[in-house]
Amino acid sequence: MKVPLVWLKDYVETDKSAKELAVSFTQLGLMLDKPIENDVLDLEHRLDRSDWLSLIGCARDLSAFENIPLKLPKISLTPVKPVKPQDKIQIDVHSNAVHRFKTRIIKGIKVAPSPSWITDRLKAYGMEPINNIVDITNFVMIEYGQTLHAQDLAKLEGSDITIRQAKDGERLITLLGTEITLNKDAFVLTSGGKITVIGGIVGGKVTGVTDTTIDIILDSGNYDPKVIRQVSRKIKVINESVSRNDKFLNPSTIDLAISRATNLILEIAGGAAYENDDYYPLPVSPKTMVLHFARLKLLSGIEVPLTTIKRIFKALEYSIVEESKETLTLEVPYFRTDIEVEDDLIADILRINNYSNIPRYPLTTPVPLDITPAIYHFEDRLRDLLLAQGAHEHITNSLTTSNGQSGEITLANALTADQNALRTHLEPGLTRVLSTYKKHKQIGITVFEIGKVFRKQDDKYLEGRVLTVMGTSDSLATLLVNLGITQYSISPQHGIFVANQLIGTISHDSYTLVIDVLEPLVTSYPNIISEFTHPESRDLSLLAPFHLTYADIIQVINQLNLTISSVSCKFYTKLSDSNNYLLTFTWPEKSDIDSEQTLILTTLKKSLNINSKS
Amino acid sequence: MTEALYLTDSYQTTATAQVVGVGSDYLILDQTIFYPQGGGQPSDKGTIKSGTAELQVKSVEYNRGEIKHVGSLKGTFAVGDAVSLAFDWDLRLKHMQWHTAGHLVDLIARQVYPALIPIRGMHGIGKKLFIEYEGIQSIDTDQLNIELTKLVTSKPEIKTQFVTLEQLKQMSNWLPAKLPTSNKLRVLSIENDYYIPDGGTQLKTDESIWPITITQVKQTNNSTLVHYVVEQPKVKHYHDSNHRSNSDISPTITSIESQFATNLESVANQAELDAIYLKYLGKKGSTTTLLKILQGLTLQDKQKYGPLLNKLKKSQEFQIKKKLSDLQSTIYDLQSDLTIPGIVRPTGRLHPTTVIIREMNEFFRYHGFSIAEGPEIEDVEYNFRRLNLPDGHPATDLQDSLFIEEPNLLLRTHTSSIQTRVLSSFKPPLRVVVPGKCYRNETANSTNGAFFYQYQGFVVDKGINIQNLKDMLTQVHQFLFGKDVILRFRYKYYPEVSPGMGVDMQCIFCHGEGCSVCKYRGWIETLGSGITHYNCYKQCGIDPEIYTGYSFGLGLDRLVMSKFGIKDIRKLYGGEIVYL
Repeated sequence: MKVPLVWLKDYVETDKSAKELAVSFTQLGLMLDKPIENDVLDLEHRLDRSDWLSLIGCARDLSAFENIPLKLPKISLTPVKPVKPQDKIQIDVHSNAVHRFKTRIIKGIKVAPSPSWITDRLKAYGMEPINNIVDITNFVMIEYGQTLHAQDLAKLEGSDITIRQAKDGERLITLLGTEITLNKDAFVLTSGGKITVIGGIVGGKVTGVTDTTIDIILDSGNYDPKVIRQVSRKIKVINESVSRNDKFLNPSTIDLAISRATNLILEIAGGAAYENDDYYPLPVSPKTMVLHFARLKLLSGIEVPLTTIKRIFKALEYSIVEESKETLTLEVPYFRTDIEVEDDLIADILRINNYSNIPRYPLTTPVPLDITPAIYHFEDRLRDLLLAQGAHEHITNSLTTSNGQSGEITLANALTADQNALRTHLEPGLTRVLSTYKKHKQIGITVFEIGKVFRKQDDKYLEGRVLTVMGTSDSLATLLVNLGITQYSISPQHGIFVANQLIGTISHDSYTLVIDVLEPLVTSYPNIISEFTHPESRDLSLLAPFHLTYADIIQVINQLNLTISSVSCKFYTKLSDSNNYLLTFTWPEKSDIDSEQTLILTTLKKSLNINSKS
Repeated sequence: MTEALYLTDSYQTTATAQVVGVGSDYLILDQTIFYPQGGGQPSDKGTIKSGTAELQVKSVEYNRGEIKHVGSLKGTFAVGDAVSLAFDWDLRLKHMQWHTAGHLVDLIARQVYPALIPIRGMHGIGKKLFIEYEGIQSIDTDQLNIELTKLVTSKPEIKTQFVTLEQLKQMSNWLPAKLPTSNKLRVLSIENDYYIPDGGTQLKTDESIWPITITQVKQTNNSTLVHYVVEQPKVKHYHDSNHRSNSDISPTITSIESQFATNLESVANQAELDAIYLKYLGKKGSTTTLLKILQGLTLQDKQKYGPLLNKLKKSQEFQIKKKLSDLQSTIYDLQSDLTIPGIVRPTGRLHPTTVIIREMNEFFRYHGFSIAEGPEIEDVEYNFRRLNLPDGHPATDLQDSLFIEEPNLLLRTHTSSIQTRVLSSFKPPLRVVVPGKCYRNETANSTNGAFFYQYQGFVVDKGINIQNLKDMLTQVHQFLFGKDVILRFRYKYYPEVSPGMGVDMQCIFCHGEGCSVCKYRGWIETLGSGITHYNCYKQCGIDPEIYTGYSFGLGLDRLVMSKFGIKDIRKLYGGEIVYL
């Protein structure tokens, strides 16, 4: 919201500079968004306070904060004459998105350039003056945050304004000359069946006010903000009307705004005003709310004097309905659509009282139970163990380019094609990391990532935690030993198994472990030997045909009823006619090693045609 | 009739020809460079190609003037097709070495034993190498070997020429019985004192002759066999179509030179240096290979490239030595001169975001907080509704969501979704922090990405107030930015809290004066916070009249980027950062 200092000073008397006022606004919740230029404050709007999209709304909070009076425009609220039956424009509303639609007819106006006090303010705000009628509707919109719109009565096709849902493909040329194609979510104003305005968003050229206009129909409406938001985004029209009508506005705002506009038109452009239809099927009634002083104390920890509380509420235009020792019953001002709960009243008190005045105080409650999941600590343990092996941790984007494979989860509304799906593997991201290292002439680097991968299975969207190590795959054995897993096997399909459970997969330069599966299999501490045992080891050199792998050999050995405590491959080499594996078998003390060794060798010979070299 | 090009030039390795005859497994051409088996020399192997067809030549046969190239045909050849010919030079060279060696053995044998009458020679057919002489002869192999070595090292002149039978009869004192009567007889001559009719391919004078040894002399029923072996040097012989002409190997030299420089530069330890040595100067190293290739080039080329290559080799040896001494001096000097800074050893490192998360976690663990996690694919209920964001609330615009299935399934837009999950499943009191990934439908730029990290925290207990929040936030800022940090607490709207509170830190660059870093505000917004919304507790099943509490959340990436000096969030998670 742009706040020109010159205009703001119409409502509050202050000697403060723009910079000083920016500090006050920031404390109030209206933070300065951009550098101050030409005494115009550009304040960040946070979508809750629709009244902060009006200068009076901003001025009101400032007056409360600075404790200075608020000067509101003097508006003559004396009712205007009803329109003569023959001049009446029938208002018919056939759209749920319209909550209120108030109209007035003003006849015999003179369209001309606005006086300088209006054009100066509009220009300071950043709006180009057009003519006195259009300028006044814009001026009042900025003042009150309520949109108004004037149409040339003579240009209406019929003697009606009918509001209905648009049809897909209907078109309208706007005041700015842009042609817009509508869809059925939008609602339109029509007259004699002809579209004149896109409701709450933009007026059409066909009924626009021009120099030749004499009679106008002025309208001010209240609409479903969700509809305005959706339609405006869809037809790509974001303007001052949209940014107000897509917020929660109270339909009562219309009364003040249309009166102010009528006053200004009569004063500046002349003419006579007549009351036309006011479509307002469900008038809102004022909200009352109770403030408990105890709750204010509970949330703030401070005692705010009752006089201060009352002053603040008065300045913010709350009315005190009832007062007790413990409570204040308040009527919430109509423009404060943001007030939902009692705590919002407390926010108003603390805000106007300045947050800087709240002291700090440490937590004194006892430390609650630790609910940190074990897996969190486990992942940190994995990180540390891989770091100890010299691997670098990286984090890469979970959003990736769709590869069109089944099971991949794609996004419904991705902005770019390179980030339109969720990753199914960590490898592609880590591959990019490795190539960056290469570019920096760092070679022989191992990298890893711990993160989620995503997959769609039937109708379920699954996310799983995995660890992928890339660059080399030789850290696996060390990692597992440090996790207390001394025995694991790799299947011919390169699955990694621990106690018959698949925990991951391995390739020549990477491996991936499924963290949820691995976590229950590990020991809290790595194995430590504190008592000397007398295991006996034997090395067997095996000559295996080329088609066999280590996994095939282990599979056969595992089927034997052996007492061995471990078996490992010490050495592997390709000979001219076979692969030579040097296996180390370890037996606990007092085992019948010779007969088990014979059993191993004869079985390997028989089932796999493996010869022993020794 | 096939013209035998090998008779005039045994070093011609490629040629073109025309097909004059096609069989199911052979081709006959108008001319050929393929040597057909004969004279004790095995045939060549190679390929004959037309535009569409190919013959893998397995054997070559000579039959009445026609040379038949036998092998497996792929595609169809037709008479008249133009074909290109190429054979296995390595194999041919071996055959030539064997063949010429046989004649050298014969020359020496007949010099030492002039009475010997040769019957035939086998120069590789069936892998046999011998010269057969008439009758039972006793021959001293040692003596022959001495003479043979002398002859080979003297680089004998070897020539072939075409003569008439008459001319041949004058040249040689011995001639085989059956000789063609053709006017053109090809004669091999060695050192002008050995003339023998020969149709084989022979080495040229300047070719290196491989070492020859007479291994044994065997007597059969009626003849004596002098067996010999030819030892191929363990050098991959280089030959290509440029072989006879002058070759240009200077580009290769240049490329080896520059590769070597690049490789050497990145060497960090002795093992890597050893690898570089092997790569260039080892037995199979690039430079070594080039030197071997040089041996096979013409004299002219040898003169041209020899000095260049020797210079390259010397330079590489020198540079490696220098690098080694550099490496060693770093090691040794460090031991003796303690004032030299140490060497950085490679260690594993954490991602910057993990580093900051751990720091933050450590701070909050100290203050009694647990760490929580939750799903990244979230439903609207936890991501919006239980945070006091009803359907259609304008504040949903604050967060453009990435949907998986509209309107209910999305990627969590903030870590607050985990807060609602924890509040919905655990009973207070609670102190929890949530570091986590979040996603929004934003066009990426240097400060915002569609993928980013937040750090959320919340406390729920009896009697928690905004003073406790201010205190915790002051402490965490002091922890992150130092004790002297100047903070500003102000009202700020967030849907999930009321009262809401924004926190700014005075810009450390301009001390509040306003500069480009703080966008001329003088302050840098660090986080959002507030008293957790009444409705939020109600929707999560906590009684807001009994329990109160606060929440805060901050974007982690900007903090990480400022701490690590990274300027672009896309690099942080785009795989574009490396650790020194």
